[in-house]
Amino acid sequence: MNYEYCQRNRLEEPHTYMYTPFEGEALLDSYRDNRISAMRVYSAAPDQGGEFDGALVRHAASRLERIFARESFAIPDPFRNLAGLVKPLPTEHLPTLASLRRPTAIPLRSLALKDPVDTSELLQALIIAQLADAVGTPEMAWLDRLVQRFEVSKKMYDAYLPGFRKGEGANTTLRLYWLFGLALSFGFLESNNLKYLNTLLKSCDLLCSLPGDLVREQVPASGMKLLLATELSCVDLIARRNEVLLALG
Amino acid sequence: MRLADVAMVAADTSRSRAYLQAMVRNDLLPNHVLVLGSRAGKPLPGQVDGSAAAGPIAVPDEPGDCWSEAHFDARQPIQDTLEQSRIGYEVIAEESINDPAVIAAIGNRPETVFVYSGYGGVLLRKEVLGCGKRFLHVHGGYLPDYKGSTANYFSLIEDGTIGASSLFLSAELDSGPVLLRKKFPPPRNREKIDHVYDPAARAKVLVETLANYARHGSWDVKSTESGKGETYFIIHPVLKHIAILSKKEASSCE
Repeated sequence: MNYEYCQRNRLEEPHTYMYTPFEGEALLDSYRDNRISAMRVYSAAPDQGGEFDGALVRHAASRLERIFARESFAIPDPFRNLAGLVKPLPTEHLPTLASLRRPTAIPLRSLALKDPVDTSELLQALIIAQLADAVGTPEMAWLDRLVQRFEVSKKMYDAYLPGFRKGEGANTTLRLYWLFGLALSFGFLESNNLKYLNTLLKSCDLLCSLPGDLVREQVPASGMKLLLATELSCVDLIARRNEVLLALG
Repeated sequence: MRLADVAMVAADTSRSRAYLQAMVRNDLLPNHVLVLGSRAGKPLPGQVDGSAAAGPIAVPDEPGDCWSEAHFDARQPIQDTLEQSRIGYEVIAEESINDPAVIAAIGNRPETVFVYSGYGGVLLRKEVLGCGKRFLHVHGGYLPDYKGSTANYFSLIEDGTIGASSLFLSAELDSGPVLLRKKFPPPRNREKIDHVYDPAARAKVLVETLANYARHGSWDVKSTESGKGETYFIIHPVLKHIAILSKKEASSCE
C-alpha cells in the first residue's frame, strides 16, 4: 500500500488531513516504509550543506541521542540504529553552541510580535536554545506561533510581517521546513506535547513528498536522515505507550 | 417538549443527524431549524459518504448509559427527521453560517439561542457572533484541557478517554463558559469515532444541557477556566491510527 500523504508534491498541493480514512495497520506500515525508504536515499547521498548546518546536525544528533537514552524513553537503540549512529557521539569534539550563534541575530527573548521576523534566524535561534536546554516560555511561544502559521497555511515563509500573521517572501525554502522539523522534534521530546509531533508528521510528509535531489540542494542529507529517524522514533514512542506495534526492528 | 427560545442552524452532517435524533428521542425539540445548503456529489466535511438506502451504520452495544445516543441513524437526512417530528425548518442555499444570507435568516428569527452544527472546519466570524443571538455549540473534547480540532483523538492517546463539552461560542476558539462537560470511555469500535461516536458523545452532552435548561429555565455555567488547556490542530492519520488501534485499558464514563 502506498503512503498516500507523500504521493503528491505537498508544497504545491497541501493536504488538509480532514476526515482521513481508517486503513488499519497497513497505514502505519506504509508510513514506516515511506520514511525508511527516504532515509535510505539520504544515507547514500553526500552532504552538500554548509558548515553551520553540518555543526547543527552533529549537535542535534548528540542531544537527541542523550534524550532517547533517558530511562523514561528507554528506546535508544532503535533511534541510534535508524540514525546510523554507530556509537555514542563524543560531545567534546563538537563546536560550541556559542560559535553557532549568528553575530547579527536578534536574541530570541528580545524579539517581539511587533517586529518583522526572518524565519531562518528565528528557527536557528530557537534550535540553539533547545540544544542548550535553555527553553522557557518565550521560546515555546515562538514555536507555538510557528505551529499555528504552518497548520493554517501548510507553508513556511521566508519572513513574517509584524504581528506574525502574514508571511512575506518565498514559501519554498526547504531548509526552513527542515529546521522547523528539528525544532518540533525537540519541542515534543522535552514537553511530551502531542501537538508538536502532530505538526512534525505533516512537515515531514511535505519534505518526503519532494524529490530527494531537490531537498538536498538546501538540506544536508545527514540532516534529513536525522530528522526522519527522530520522527520515526517519536512515533514509535507513542505507539508503544498505546500498545501498538510500529515494527521498527 | 418544544423549546420555544431555542432554534438550530444545521448542515446535514452526521453530527447534526445525531443531534436531531437525540433531541427527538429525549423530547427536547428546537422551535425551528435553518438547514444550510449542501452540494450534490462529493460530501462536505462532516458528511457521511453513502445513501440513506443503506440504512443505519451498525455499532456494537455498549455497557452502561454513556453511549445511549450512539444508535442513531447516521444515514438519515436531517430533513427526514424534521418532517417526521414536525419541526419547522427552512433550507438556505448557502453553506456557511458566515454568509450574509444566513446571518440575515438568523436575525429574522425570534429565538435567542441557536444550537450550531455546521460543516467541519468553519469558524464563526465576528459578524455572526455579534448578531445578537447566542450560539450553543458542543465541542468534541473535554474542555478546557482539549481544545481545537479532532481533540478526542489526542485525548484517546493521552488518557484513554473521549470528551464533549457544551458552551456558548465566543471570539476565542473553544473558550466560552462551559455549561456541561463529560468524559466517555473509548467505544468498542473506534473506527466509527468520526461519524458515530464523536457525534454521539456531543449529542449526549447536548441533550443533557437542554434538559438542564428546560428544568431550570436558565443556562447554568459549570466552568469558566478557559485559559488552561491545549489547542490541537487536525490530527495526522498516523496518530489517528494509533488512537484507533490502541489497546490501552479503557476508563469509565464520567
